[in-house]
Formats: sequence, C-alpha cells, structure tokens
Amino acid sequence: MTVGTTFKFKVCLVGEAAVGKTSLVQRFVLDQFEDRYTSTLGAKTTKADIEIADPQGGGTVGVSLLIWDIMGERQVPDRLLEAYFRGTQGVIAVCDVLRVPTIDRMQDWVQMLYKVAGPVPTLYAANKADLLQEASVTFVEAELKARLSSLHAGPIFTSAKTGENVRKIFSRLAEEIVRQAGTESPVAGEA
Amino acid sequence: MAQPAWGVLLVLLFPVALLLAAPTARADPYHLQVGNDVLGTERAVYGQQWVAQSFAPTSGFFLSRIELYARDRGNSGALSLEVRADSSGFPAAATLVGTSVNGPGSAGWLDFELSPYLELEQNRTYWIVASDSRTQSNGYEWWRSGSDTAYPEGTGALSPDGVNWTYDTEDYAFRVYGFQQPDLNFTVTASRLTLDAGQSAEFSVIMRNAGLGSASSVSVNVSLPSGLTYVDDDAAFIGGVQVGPLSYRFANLGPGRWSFQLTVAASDNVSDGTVAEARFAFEPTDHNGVPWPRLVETVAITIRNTGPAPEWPWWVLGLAGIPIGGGLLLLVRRRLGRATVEEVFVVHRDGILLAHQSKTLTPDKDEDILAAMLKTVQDFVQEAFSGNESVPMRGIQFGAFNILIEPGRTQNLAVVYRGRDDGTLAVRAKELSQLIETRYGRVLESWSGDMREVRGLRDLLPVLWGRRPDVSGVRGQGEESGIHEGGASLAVSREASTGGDQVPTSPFPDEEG
Repeated sequence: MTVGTTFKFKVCLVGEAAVGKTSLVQRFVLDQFEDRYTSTLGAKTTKADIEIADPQGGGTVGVSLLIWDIMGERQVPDRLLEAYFRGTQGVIAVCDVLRVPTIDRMQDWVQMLYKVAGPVPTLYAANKADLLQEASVTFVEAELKARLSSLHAGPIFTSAKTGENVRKIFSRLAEEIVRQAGTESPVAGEA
Repeated sequence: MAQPAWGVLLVLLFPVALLLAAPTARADPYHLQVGNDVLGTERAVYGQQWVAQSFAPTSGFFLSRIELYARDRGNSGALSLEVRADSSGFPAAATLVGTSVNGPGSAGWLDFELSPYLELEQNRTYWIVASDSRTQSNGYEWWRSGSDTAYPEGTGALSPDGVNWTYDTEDYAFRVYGFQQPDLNFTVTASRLTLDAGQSAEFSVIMRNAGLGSASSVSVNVSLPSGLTYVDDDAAFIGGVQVGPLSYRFANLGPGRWSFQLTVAASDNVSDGTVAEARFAFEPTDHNGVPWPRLVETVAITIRNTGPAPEWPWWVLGLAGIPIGGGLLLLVRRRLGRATVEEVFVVHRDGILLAHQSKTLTPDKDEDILAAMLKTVQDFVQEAFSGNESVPMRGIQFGAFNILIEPGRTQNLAVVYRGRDDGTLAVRAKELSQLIETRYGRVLESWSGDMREVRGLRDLLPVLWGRRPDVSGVRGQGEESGIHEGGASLAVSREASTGGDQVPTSPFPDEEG
C-alpha cells in the first residue's frame, strides 16, 4: 500500500476490443504484469495512486485505484465477467470516437456491470481524441449524448497517445466514489 | 466455454511465482539510462562548430558509455566527446570526463567508452559536448532529431569555440549508458543461542541490498566449529549455488532482502558449556564484479552436555523407551511436516488487499496488484473448473512453494509457504480467518474502501509465524481469538542477532527440537 493511502477502490475499465482501454491505463498506472494475462484470464489488474481533495475538508487524501482492465472481446463467459465486476466501486467505459458501434456497446457494458455491482459512479471516456479534427468534437459529443440516453455527465475526451485527460478521468472517478461513499455510509472511526 | 488446458494454468501461476523469484538483474556496466533515437538530418562538427546536447537522468547512476549517431566526413580523424556540467542553461567550462574515438565514414552509433565512471546525479542537467578541430569538410556529422521535443528533458546547443553557446533548434541523437551500484549489508541470526547436545538450531543468513543496482556476486563461506555439525540449508531457494563445502555463491543479487536458513546440530562429544562460534564470511562484489571488502559475522552457541546417562536397570530403560520413542516419532513427524511461512495476504472478497506481511521482501512487485491478480486467478479457476458448483479455490502449488487459501465470508486469507504443512498451518490459518471475521466481518460486509476501518488487522498476522498477535492497538469487537500461541518467543532469535531486523526462522518456534 502506498504510504498515506486512505482509500482503496476497485474500479473496472470496460468497452469493446481495441478502443484503447489498456493504452489508456498504461499512461500513468503501475503496470507490472504483461498484457497477455488480459487475453488469458479475461482481465488484468493495474494500480493508480492518486491524491484528491479530502472530502472532509482541508488537504488531500491518498487513493489507490485497483483497476480491473476487462478484455473487450465478447468471448469471456458472463459468469466470469460477473465475478470480475463483483464489488466494483466505479467504472470507466471507453469507446473509440471514430468507431460508432463502440459507442453503442459502451452502454451495454455499463448495464452489465450495474446488474452485478449496482449503479456505481461511472465516467465515459471518448478515446483516441487525438485523431479527431477540431471541428468534429462538437459533432461527436452530440452524437455520444444522443446515443447514451442515461449519460448524465458529458463524455470526457481522452487520448492515450497524448495523455489528454487521462489522469483527470481517474481523479474525477476517485472523487465521485469518495463522495458517494461519504453519502451512503459516513466514514467510521477505527474498527 | 472450452475447458482451458493445464498448460494455461502454468501461465496463470506465473504472477504468483514472480512473488518469490530469485534476483535476475544483469551485472554489466552498460545499461541504457537515457537516450534519444529519433533521427533527422545531420549537423557538421568541426573546428568552428562545437555541438552539444543536454540530458537529465531520472535517477542517479554511474556513467560508462555514450553513443552518438555520427559519421566521419574526412579520413581517420577522431571525434572528441566531453561530459560537462550545466552552467546557466549551457555547458560549463570544465570537463567532467572525456575521450575521443576514431569513427567510420558510414553513419551509425559511435561508442565512447568513458573512464573513470562518472557518478551522475538524479534530475541534474549534464551536457554531451562533441568537437573536432579539423575543417568542416574533414570533420564529423552528428545526427539531429528534426525537433526540439524529441528529447523533452534536454536541448541542443552550438558554439564556435566551446565557450560561447547558443541554443540549437533541434535535439541530437544520443544514448547514455551506465549502471547503479548495490548497497549491501549482511546479518546472521540464530534460532537458539544455547543447545543441548544433539539439538539443532537454524541460522538465518540475511543479505540486504538497499541500492538500486545488483551485486554481480556475493559469496558466503561458513565455518562451523567442531561442536556444530551441518544438517541442511535452503540457499538454493534464493538462487544460491554451492561451490564448496559450506560455500555458496549468489549471482546478480538484486535490490531487496534475501535470506536463507542453515540448520546445524550440536555435537554430543563436546564438554558441557562449550562455546561454539560459527563464522560467516561474506565476499561481495560491486555491480561489475569488482570485489568489495570481506565482512565476517560470528554467532556463538553454547552447548550443554551433561554427559552419558547413569546406568539404569534394563527394565527401566525399556519402560522409559516407550514414551521417548513416541516423542521422537512425533518430533520426526513434526519436522517432516514443518512449513515455513513466507507471505500472508488478507484480501477482501472483491479483490482489494486489506493487509500483508512478509518474511522476505518481494522486490519490484506491488502487493496490491499481486492480491488483485490472485483474486482474478481464483475467479478464473473457479469459473473454469467448478462448473455450476460454488467451490472456492483452496490452494496453489508451484515448485517448492505453496499458497494456502483460507476463504472467509468477507475476505480470503492467502498464506505463501514452503515445506510441507502437517495440518498445523491450515488450522492456524482457519483460526486467523475466523478471528478476522469476528473482529472485522461487520465492517468488511459493506466496506467502503476506507483503510482506516481496517487499521490494526495487520497486527493479527504474526500468529501465522507462531508469534503472539499484537492486538494492543486493535479495538476488537468482542470475542477472544481462540488461537493457540507458540510456547517459545521470538526473543530467542533477537538475542542471537548480530544486528538488523529479526525474522523468525520457523513459523512454529515452539516445535523446534
């Protein structure tokens, strides 16, 4: 555990194959096992240590996000996916901005996870944003909103290539989980 | 889903095996530390044009070689290379180290071997300065990268005389090689300082490398006095090769803590009160195999020998033999079944590590990620092999190591051990798991991820090493643990210590001898 870690959260990274999930996390996570484990087991875990504002005010708190990078191919049996999803406290759904079907499938992944873990904090990453022309951003954003009816917050445009918003999306998810945890069950004292 | 081949399982166990892998770092001075391989167009280096590129190491190291992508325009001239410190954003006047090389006319990476090795500091800026006193047509060409961001931490610079510098608009192609040194210390502890004749004790030989680089080799030579005889050792578990009687060699000892046990027995032909001094000589080398000073640790064992038993009538011996024989059989059974606990993980049922304790350090692997991967492997195996039944995975075996998994209601206890468990360890793991459930089950049932809520859990883990759990800081919720503690205390090995931290040599010191 990182010195100063106050919270540890399980988060899942979901989305279709080749949308850039693994590349996205590799931008800043602690990644110690080869990617072949993702294809063998259907998932691989990495870790991101970040600091966020202390929800109780003043200073920051350390958060370790344990990230289950779930294989995008639909060959992973549902029961195994359910096992991986169990206990998830937050999810980042990833799509490829240039492949419309991946946008549609993003919501399927989220719904599948919600069935196991409940409606946990969710962020949507519109990945490979570096490939978008500036003029296309507004169009794609509108398209995403139209296709994701339950999307409360707008998608966050990310790029594993340039690093755009990658740290931000994980920090924001951690903040949202802490906020939700604080709302549902106030932080207790020592056990 | 198709049933995976057993070979797949071996792949799955690889991350677990890494947990205890022996050091594998390479021992040579040429490890690439910093570089920029982006190639654009060339820049001439000649009498009126000195060329420089700055770089900043992200960690300290000893500089051994620099490579420039260059070629000689003329015939058999040498390109000079210096390393300089930074002065106000440009190369300082003084040369820290330098050399010159006669390169070929074809473009390629030109090696500059540097001697002596120069120690570079982390995040400090240094300059590679190239010069050639010949004319432009006879000088060298050093390749640029087409942009100033090819190597973002540095920049290129030009000078007519090596003194007055201006920035260039592009970075240059370069590679900087070096190595990091180990920082070694050695300690030896013994499980007992006093032995009865025939009794055995274990020496723990601890080698700690607090540096960033590996030691090319460490030799450990053990000398036992006449009062102690060798029984066995497990140096091979951490890559030790026996090169002679009681002599071991460990190659490429990487950063971290490495320990092995050597078991000895007290002779019965020494007089009572004999002090037998075991001697451990350590002969380390630096990263490149250069010998470092020899270090010697000694541990003194006192042997009690009250002499031969008095003459008893045969029938007394016969009667006494029954319980003694039974006791010996029990002792042999216990010894055969002895397990040595290496690591303990308490993992929340969803895969988050709650607590971890280790007998040996596990360099390079993050315990949180290991715990999460272990959970992933468990889920996978259960899905693959359990069919519709909900049968949890209870263990993994690989090589000399085993992982015992004790599933609880809200957490799983994973105990990594070697040797054979006669059931004692399994019982203790079960009892510990129950204790955790008793004290933390309610919190873990709907745990939010707040580590403050499980503070104190780690203090329960030493029970698996036969130690009394430190529960002084734990505000438990009620019931007693029911865990039976070992009779002997860790103080035995503390007394025997010649320094450093203490590690119990057996999980069950009460079962020794």
